[in-house]
Amino acid sequence: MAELSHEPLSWLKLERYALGELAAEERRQVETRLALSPADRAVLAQIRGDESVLPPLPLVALGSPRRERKRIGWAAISATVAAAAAVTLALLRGPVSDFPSRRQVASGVKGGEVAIALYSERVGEEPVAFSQGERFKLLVTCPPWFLEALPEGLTVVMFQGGERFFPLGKAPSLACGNRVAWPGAFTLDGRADVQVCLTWSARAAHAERAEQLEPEVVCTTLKRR
Amino acid sequence: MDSYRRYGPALLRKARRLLQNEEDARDAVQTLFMDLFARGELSTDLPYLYRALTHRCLNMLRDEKNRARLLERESPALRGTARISPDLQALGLQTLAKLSDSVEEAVMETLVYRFFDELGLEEIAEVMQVSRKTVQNRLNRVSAQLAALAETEVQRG
Repeated sequence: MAELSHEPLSWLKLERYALGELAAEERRQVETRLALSPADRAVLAQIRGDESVLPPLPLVALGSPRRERKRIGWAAISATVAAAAAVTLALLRGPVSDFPSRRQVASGVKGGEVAIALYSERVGEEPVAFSQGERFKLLVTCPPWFLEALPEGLTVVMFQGGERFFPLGKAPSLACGNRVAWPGAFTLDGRADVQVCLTWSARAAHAERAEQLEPEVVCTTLKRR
Repeated sequence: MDSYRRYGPALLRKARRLLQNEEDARDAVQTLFMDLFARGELSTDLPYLYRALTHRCLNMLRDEKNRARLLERESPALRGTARISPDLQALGLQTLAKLSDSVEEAVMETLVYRFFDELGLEEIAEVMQVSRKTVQNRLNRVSAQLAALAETEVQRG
């Protein structure tokens, strides 16, 4: 691939120029080039004229525990996973036959918890309601080994007006921790309240109500404004 | 938070050029900073963040579920006008996605800096901390494949 003789000022250089981060000599070179190149000036104008508002940043991982809407203790999870393993092994063979490893891992842990929190781009932390088109992020708190213990992973499922939605799907690369951001975001609309749930139940694809996923689920409800 | 306010807009523009949709671009930048803060990396510089965001966007494109969504939402107008190689203006997400299946990460990263961020070879070498020759070799390695895919994309419309 031949190098082109006409090299524009890169976006990175122009961004740093606009931020005032270039050293004096480099800044002079950029200004000389800008004087000669309408295309480069157009990019700089684009940078300076961009008035996009950044999405607010949830305060995560600052070490301050926050109120979660619903918590579930590891004792309950351990018991549930063990029970699920026993039932599943009795009924099924094949892809889910690794349940014993879940039990092995889960039974060794005490005092942890799974929790979810929502972050609204409109109102910030701890939203209790939603408006049409409001965008949310899901923050998950879980112990580091939790996903290893659940090879099928976690699923985000939402219930609204008798319907079930999976707007975020699975997050295979999610690393458990304190208020870890689930990849992606979701937008809510509709007139009914929404129940947002995180589940590790194998029944996620078929449940019609959150209660059917208990105790392998944590949920929070957003009312329609 | 200061680095988010300072560099977030520049990164959002970069994410828009690459992902070519506003929502995923915003999400990529937001989650990048959330992860950085979670790792305690409070002080960063723009070249470093450019790299981190490039990796994040390429990972999104590699993931099959994300890829389908990104291709569906692709809005080429957000790519902007190419200054270095107008014949590669059509280098879009579809092409990048196809390349990412067969081309190594470092080459993909080089392509993004060259054709989406329009960095010169010296600048890419500096950002990636490799020699200029390595950068040139990486671009050479993929040039034929890139040209063929870009032409297909043009014909596709």
